[in-house]
Amino acid sequence: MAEESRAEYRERLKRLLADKHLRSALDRFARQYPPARRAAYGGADPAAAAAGLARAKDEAIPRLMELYEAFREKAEAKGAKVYLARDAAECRRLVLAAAREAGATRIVKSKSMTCEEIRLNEALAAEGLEVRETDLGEWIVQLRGEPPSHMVLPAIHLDRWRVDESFARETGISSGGDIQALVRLARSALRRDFAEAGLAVTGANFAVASLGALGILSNEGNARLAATLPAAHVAVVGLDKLVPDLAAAAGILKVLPRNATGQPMAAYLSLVAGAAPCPLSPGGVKDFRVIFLDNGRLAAAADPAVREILRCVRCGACANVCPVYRMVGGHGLGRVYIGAVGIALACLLEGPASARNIAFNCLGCGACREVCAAAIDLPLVIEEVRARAFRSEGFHLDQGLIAAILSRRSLMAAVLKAAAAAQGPLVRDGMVRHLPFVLSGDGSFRSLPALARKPFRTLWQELCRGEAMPEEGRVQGAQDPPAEEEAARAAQGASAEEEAAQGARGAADGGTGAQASSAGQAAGAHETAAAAGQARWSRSSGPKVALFAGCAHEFVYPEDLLCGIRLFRAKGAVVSFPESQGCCGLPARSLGWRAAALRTAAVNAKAFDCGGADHVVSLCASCASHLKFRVPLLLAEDKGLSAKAASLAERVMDFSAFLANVLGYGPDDFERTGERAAFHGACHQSRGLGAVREPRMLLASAAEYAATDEEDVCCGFGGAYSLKFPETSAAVMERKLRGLEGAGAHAVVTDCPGCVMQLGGGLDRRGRPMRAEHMARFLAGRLKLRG
Amino acid sequence: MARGMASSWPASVGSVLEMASKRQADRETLELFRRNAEAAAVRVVEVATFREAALFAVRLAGEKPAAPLLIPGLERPEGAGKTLFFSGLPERLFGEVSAAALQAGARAARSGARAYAGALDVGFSVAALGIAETASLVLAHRDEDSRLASMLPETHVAALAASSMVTALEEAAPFIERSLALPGSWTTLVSGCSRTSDIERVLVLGVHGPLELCVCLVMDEEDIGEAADAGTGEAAGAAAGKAHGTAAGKAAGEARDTEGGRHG
Repeated sequence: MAEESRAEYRERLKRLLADKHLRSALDRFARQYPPARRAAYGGADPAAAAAGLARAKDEAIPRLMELYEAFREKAEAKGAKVYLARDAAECRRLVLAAAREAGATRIVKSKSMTCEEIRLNEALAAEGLEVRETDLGEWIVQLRGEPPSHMVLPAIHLDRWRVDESFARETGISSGGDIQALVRLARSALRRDFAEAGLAVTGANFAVASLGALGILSNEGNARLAATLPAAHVAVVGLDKLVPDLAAAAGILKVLPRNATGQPMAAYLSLVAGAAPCPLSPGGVKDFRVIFLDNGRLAAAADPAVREILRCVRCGACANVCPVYRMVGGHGLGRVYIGAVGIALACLLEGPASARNIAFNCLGCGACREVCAAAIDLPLVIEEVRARAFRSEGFHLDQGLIAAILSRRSLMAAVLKAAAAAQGPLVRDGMVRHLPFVLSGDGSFRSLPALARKPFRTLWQELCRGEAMPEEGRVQGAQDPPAEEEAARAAQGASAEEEAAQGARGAADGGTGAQASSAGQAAGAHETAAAAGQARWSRSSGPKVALFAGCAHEFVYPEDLLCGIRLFRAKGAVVSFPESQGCCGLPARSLGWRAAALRTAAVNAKAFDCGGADHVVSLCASCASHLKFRVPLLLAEDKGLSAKAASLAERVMDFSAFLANVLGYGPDDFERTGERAAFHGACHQSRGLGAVREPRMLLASAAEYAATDEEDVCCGFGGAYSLKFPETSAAVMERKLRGLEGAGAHAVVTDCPGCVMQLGGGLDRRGRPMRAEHMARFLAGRLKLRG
Repeated sequence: MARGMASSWPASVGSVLEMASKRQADRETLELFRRNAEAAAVRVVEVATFREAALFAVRLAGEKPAAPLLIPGLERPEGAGKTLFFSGLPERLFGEVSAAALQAGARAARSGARAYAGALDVGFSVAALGIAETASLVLAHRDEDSRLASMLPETHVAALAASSMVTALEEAAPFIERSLALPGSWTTLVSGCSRTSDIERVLVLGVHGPLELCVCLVMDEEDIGEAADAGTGEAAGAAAGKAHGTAAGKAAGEARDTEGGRHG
């Protein structure tokens, strides 16, 4: 099968996005799943259970062959035949041999992703064997000639009407869309197959080496019936399912049913140790075979960058919470396996080239990592897969250009300076208007913000003109500029009046009548604070904070940074801006270009190795998260820089958490107006940096905080994602905007410039009155002035 | 404080207190099982004796509509009418239960379960253990009939000695482990009846297995000896030797005693 090109893949995604049945089925599921999962855990701590499972699997993964031998010895002593298949072809041959030796013409199967992996059904059918899937969902997709779209719920992409259609075609009976009747129809249609099949093929959820026993979970009871009624039973089991003992298996049972279907336990767990008596068999005992499948697993177990993926117990939770899965389903985001783990397994089992499309169809939002039953750092593994796909693919002009520009500050500054000059006639209200179609491409689902006339670095230098501090040179970062007011004006340049007017207009629309643009306020009403800051400088004992600007803030929203500086200084913090800093490196990393990611990591590790700042704060949660969690990993092997990277990571702090926890901001610091403001939890803030409480507290201190559902679900930006997959990005954004608008808020506040760009651009393109604002800007505009 | 006092009392008084508190804990465990079972749409009834559990199964067979024939052409061995299949029923009870079944309009069978794959109304089997936290029954049935009794029918009635209830999976693990050490052993954790939510995530009970599950908690301690299951005996007996002192060991041990007496 020729690999699908990226353009073909995007076309396929577009068709999935246009499927209304699919969208409503997946949306319903996405809403049901998180509360069902929470309820299933009850008082138990999911993270602790996942960590326990991770430990047990991590012990098993390096000794899979040893466990295999132990299993084989025990199971064979109990009458089972145990095999090891090196690859899919060998595995198929072994199953075919079992069918022939059992004299089977009909086979009943219970759901097995491992069988999907080796494309078993096609091979059996090619040999003239009749294969019947008995899991309800699997049977539905088998009748439709489709692969499963979910590892646990294979037919989640279909509604009752489509199922009815398929069943009616098969059985001649229509159930009129009555789900219970559809299920009863399957019960009667498949019972004969159980009774008459000559062979059962099942998977297994785990294999206990010390007992030679398989564990097979099912809710429908089809796996039990299949494994009991026919005279022969073959279980196809990935080598990664081996665990040493029952205690490790119990660890799986504690999380798998809860994570998979929100149940404390699946209805049936069959533990099968060896060949059971079977009156139907010639020898009086069942012909029971277990085929373990390697197919790349042993190689993965020896590959430190990806081996934790073998912890996976196939619960499907990573798909259940994935914003992209929610839009395009498992046929769009998966190959054999589905969701985030599907991306990783495609690479490990089929090679990096197979993963190159789906690997990039990930927003990097980290929702999967939070729910993973085995605490797999899925975003980290996906980044590694991208790096491998990038290498396997060779140079791609679009990716290469983006990565090249982002990883070299001077080049980026030059390109953006030219762009900022060229955009002049196209800009109105801070947004780019009338962009020729050739430039806007498919990104027209949101307006693009204009580039700032002066990037932050220029503003900073203006702030510092003549004010260089004796302790630290300009290169390492001058501190605490006094001329902030002037710079804030400069940031707005010629559009300052327009900005202020827009702020006032927004306020009028919002009905509060009290708000001016916060940037305007930062510019206009800041003399006392600036003077106070100046006075404080010489004797300040406040925390020293080094600012990491980040590209979006530096070139698009520099005024937000000024607002941030104002907030820092108003509580006595001393601010520095190490000028040799560059792009955080997240875009290069996301694009899979390891060399560029390493280069930027080194630049920043060196840039912040100075000045003795207590904290490094970025107003961009994505940058901060990358500096904190990825830079130390990237530089771990670099003797000269690993300590610097670790020190940088140690000091990086979330912006809102810094305001709340270090500077002590709270309700007394803001003029709280009646304006209703919704909150969007940026992925890298709420999950990456773990700042959940602080931004909400700050927002509630400055406005009427209008809580909405799914506040922490991604907005669909994902950096380069929104350029690569604009249709999916737009769909994720639309859903987010609908949720926000339901709250009747005047503004949506967030801690990430990417989210501001996405949500603000989307709102603007739709002509909505709500505006998207960075937390810094929102808070600075409401800061109480003190004498 | 109470513990300190107890230790200074004569041993007999201390052990009485201990027993009383254990019985209290057991009551709590049973209630936990009941709550969790009911949340999973499992019916839980308390009966005094094993005989009552079997007669409860008969009553359910009488009340329910006859199961439709799922495999046209595969008629019930006894012809038309409702069927009950008993596994693990002591010899002396089968006559009485069969007669009661006939009165309720059903026939009782106890071997050749495979023949009922087309239609079976009620299946009766004996659980070795209950796990309260997950409302699970541990069925340790090596023989096919006992296993099919909990797979083929529309209604599955499981008898469980109340004293064989444990709180968590970990407590059941030693029993399960020893049960699985035997050749060809099947140990199944049943937590509710057969179910699916494969279509639009709507929960429907009863797909390929039972449509409903009833657990009869056998409360009378003296009666547990009768609650031996032909299928359980072998596995549980081996398990029991090493698991005495726990509820699991006790149930299993008694199962072995009965079986040992019969077959040994």
